[in-house]
Amino acid sequence: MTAAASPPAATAAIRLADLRFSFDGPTDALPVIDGISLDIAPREVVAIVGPNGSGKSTLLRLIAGLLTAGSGTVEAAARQVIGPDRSVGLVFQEPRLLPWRSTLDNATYPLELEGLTVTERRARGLALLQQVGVEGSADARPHELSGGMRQRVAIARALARGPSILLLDEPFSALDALTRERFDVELLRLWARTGTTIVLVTHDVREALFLADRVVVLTERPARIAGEIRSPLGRPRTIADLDSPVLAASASAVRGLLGWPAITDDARAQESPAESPP
Amino acid sequence: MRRWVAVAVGAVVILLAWAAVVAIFDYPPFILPGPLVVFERFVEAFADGTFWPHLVTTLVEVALGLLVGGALGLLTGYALARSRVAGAVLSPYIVAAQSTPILALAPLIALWFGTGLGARVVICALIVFFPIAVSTMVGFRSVDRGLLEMGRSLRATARQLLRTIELPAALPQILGGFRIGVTLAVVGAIVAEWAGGDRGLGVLINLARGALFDIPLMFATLLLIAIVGVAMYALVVAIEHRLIGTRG
Repeated sequence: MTAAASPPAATAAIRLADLRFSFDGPTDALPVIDGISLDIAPREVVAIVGPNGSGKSTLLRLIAGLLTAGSGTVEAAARQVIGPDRSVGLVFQEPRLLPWRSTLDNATYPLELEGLTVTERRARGLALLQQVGVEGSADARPHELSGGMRQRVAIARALARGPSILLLDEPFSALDALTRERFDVELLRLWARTGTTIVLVTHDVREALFLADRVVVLTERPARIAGEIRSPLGRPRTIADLDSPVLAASASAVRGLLGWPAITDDARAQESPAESPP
Repeated sequence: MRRWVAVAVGAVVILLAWAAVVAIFDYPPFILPGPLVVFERFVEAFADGTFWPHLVTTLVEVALGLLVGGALGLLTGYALARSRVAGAVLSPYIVAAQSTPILALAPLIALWFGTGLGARVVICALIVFFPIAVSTMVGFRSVDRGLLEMGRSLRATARQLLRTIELPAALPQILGGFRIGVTLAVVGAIVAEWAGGDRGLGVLINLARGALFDIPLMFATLLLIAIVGVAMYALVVAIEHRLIGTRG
C-alpha cells in the first residue's frame, strides 16, 4: 500500500528533487526539510500530512516560490521555481482578504496586479465568484461574509489567473466539521471543472484520503517522506465515501506511517486507569 | 440624533454657566465679557471685515504647515518603519525635537527664517510633523504580514504592495496622526504668529488685548480659533469616514 509509483518524470506538474531547507536560527540553522524528492502528475491531487511543525506549510511555500530551497530543486509547470509564478495559485490557512475591498475586488486582485482594466476584471471576477458560489455577495466587504464564504473568495482569488497548479494550506481548518465536509465535496467539483493539479496540506487524514489521489506522509522535523498511501476511492467521489470502510482502512495505514498508535477503548483505559470502571 | 441633542444641551449648559458667572460676580466686559457680548462682537467682526484677513492668513499657515509637516511626517514615518538604521539614527533626534517646547523654538526659528509666511509654516510644520511621523511608522509596522505574503505570492512588485496593501492597511493609523496633527497645526500657527508676524488670528488676539484693548474681540477671536480647530478636525474625520468607514 505504501510507496505508490510516482508519475513518469517527463509528465510531472511538480517535481521536487532532494529538496532541503533550513530556517536561520539565532545561533544555528534550523533544518526543516531534509531531502524530499517527489513527482506530482498534472491533474493529480496530492495531500501532504505530517505532525505539527513538520514543515508541511514550508514545503508548500517552497513550491509557491515564497521561500528559496537551501539545496535541491523545485520545478512547477515545467519551470524551475525561483519565485512566485502565475501558473501557481496559493490558498492560505486564513483567507487573507483585503478588508477595505469588496468581494469582487478581492477575487480580482491578481488581475489588477497584471494590469487588466476594471471592465475586464469585473467580467472575469463575476465568473470566478460564480465558480465558487459567492456571486451574490460581489459587493460585500469581507467582514460581512461568513468564514466559509471568505475562504471561497480566497479560492476564487487563487484561481483568478487560471493556474495549472493550486496549493492549499489547510484551507478549511477554521471551518466546522459539517461545513468542512461540504467544502471538500465542492473542492472536488471545482477540481473536476478546472483540472488543476492540487497539493493540499491537511491535518485531517480522512479528508486527505477523500480528496487526494495520493497521501504523502512526512516525518517529524526535519521532514522526510515517511511513505505514501494511495487513496482507495475511485472518481467521482461523493460525501458518502467519507464513511466507506476502505477509507477507514487506509486512514489506519496513514496513521501508522505517522507513528500514531491505534487507539482502542482498551488502550484508552490503560492510559487513564483512574477513569476505568470499578 | 440623540448625540446632537446631547451636544446642544451641553453647549447651552456651558453658555448659561458662563453667563451666570458674569452676572453673579458682576465682571465688567474688559475682564470677562458675557457670551452674548462675545457673540455680538463675533458677528460684528465678520460683518465689518476685521476677521477676514487674519482668518485667511491663519488658514493658509495651517494648510501649508499641514502639507509640509504631513508630507515630511509621512516620509519619515515610512523610513522609520522600513529601516532599522533610519529608526536608530533618527528616533533620538525626533523625540528630542518633540520634547522641546515649540514656544521655546519659535523665537529661534523667527531669528533664522524671519517673521514671514515661511517661518510660520516651518513652526506649524514642526509641530505637525511628530504625531504624523509616529502614527505613520506604527501604521506601516503593523501591516499584517500575512497580507504582504499573499501579495508576494501573487507576484506583486514592491510598489504594488505599497499602493494596494501597505498604504491602505496603514491608513487608519496615519489618519489618526492627522487628527492630532490638524489640531496642533492650529496651535502651531497661533504660536508662530505670536513669535512674529503682522497678520493672523494670533496677532489679532495680541492686538485685541493690547493696542485695541477690545476684550470681547479677543474672546471672539478665541472662539473663531476654536471653531477653526473643530472644523479642521471634523474635516479629517469626514475624510477618514470616506476612506475607511466601510471596513469591518
